[in-house]
Amino acid sequence: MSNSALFLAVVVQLAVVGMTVFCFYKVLKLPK
Amino acid sequence: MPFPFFLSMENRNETWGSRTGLILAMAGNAVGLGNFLRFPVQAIQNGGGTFIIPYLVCFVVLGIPLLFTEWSIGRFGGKSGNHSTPYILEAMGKSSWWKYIGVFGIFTNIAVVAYYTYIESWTLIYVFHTLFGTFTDMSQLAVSNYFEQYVNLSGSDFGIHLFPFWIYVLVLGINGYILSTGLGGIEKVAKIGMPLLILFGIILAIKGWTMGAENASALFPDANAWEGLNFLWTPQFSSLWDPKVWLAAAGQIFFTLSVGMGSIQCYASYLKSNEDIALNSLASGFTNEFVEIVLGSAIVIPIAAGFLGMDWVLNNAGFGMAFQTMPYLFQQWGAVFGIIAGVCWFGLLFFAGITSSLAMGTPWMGFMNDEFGWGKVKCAFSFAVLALLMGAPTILFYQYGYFEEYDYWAGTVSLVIFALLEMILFAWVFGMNKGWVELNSGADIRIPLFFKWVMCYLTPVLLLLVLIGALVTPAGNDWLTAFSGLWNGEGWKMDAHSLVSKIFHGDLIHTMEEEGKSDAWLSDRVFFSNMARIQLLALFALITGIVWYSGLKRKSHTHE
Repeated sequence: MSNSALFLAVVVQLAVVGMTVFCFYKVLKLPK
Repeated sequence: MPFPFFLSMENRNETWGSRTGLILAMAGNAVGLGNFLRFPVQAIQNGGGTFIIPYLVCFVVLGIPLLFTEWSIGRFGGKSGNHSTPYILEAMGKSSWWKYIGVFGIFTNIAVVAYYTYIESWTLIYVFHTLFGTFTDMSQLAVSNYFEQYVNLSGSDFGIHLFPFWIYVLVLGINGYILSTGLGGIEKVAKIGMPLLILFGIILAIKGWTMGAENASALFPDANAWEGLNFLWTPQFSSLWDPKVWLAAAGQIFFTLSVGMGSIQCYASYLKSNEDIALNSLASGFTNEFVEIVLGSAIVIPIAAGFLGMDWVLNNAGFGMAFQTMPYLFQQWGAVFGIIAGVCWFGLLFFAGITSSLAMGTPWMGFMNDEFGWGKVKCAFSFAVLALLMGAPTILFYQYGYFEEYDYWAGTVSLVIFALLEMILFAWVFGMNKGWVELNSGADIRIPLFFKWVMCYLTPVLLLLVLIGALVTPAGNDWLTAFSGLWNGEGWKMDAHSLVSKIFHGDLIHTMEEEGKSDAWLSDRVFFSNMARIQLLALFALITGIVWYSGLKRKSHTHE
């Protein structure tokens, strides 16, 4: 796999995973 | 306006049991077959890695704004006891004409669920076929032919005539039963189905990323899963200037988030008036993107490339791969893992499907309960009957394109039209200032102000462009030639698959010429295409009539 492909795949997927985890973290952290 | 007090209060106080349940149900609404089958194919057909860039931009300027809009519209309508788009939109737009625009929000769901549950039934039966080893030792051609004879109703599984039809009825029954138990049942399915879907997806995605060239064969010596991943993720910046790619990205964002259907508004109408929209909608939206980008991209394309090579994938990638190719590929992994992979694959597709089809049932149910006091069982049963009436021809006349006709008008065109109209309602009729206050009320996170501008100006324009793009698609999707044709006197050559052309069956005529089909083929296809359109129009008219009648009822109660 080319370096640019690997880079794009890792960056985008990490960003999506990160945003998803962040959202659920905030949801579960809230008192209500 | 006071509720007609004698109507059943059964559903009126219904609300979501838990926040996680709500988010998983909303995510399940969005996550569907398209995440696994449509996204990778669209990416392949639109420049691979470059598709991701317009796709992500469209997620931000089209997807998220539409999610914010639909959740807001839904919760707003729910405050006045309205649980489906006709009266939700009327509540927001003040004029009683908006309830007829809201008809889309019930029509689209019934029309789509009719054929969508048929696909769901395939996934269910294929789980059992995998477990029973039906595909063991079958050649690739035999696996493909098995699917063909299934949808052509020419086989006789277990000796039962029209077996696919009965499995479809069974799946409608399952949907109807769960719907009759209310939001609680939907939540339960989401809380079980979504985590399982994600687990199954992770198992297959790991295989997709790690299999490499280990499954190359004498027939396909260059097969390598890495090539599939490479093609999917290598950025080709030249396609960033191609309108076709941007339109495809916008379209994919649309379908993947299930916006423009009316089901999100319905689910959101069961929120309490001060319950958060901002964080909830983002959580469900990103869950969908996780499934699509992280899991969806790592399964079909790499696995197929790993067995059959990238050339095969580029020539054959499409919806049918899920049932005609994957079962053959899985069994190459041996008896045990082959079955595990098959159960994971068809299992996740089934969960993706059912969480979406359940969502499609709720607008009808919400409406009939709100306006006529119908209980959950009556609502669910009538929904299943309507779906069956609409869906039966798509099964019986599958080979005549009945299915595709529904998918185009109800599952493609009507979504964009409705989304454009509701965006105009929210941002311009209700007003973006009020809309922004409504959206941020009860919010658990601060939404960047940038989105206010986007929702007001950018999103409606983009939706209009998507609609125009579908209406007058240039021949071969070559926008540059079409535009220059306007200046040099050659005119705008429309593609056979543009909406305008399709109305007059230009796409069928084009296929007949390209593939050398007979006149008899064309007249059959035109006949069934017209029948499907008449049926869709009849459904639209029926729902419009019911909404009109409910309007009379409301007026007469106000005068009492």
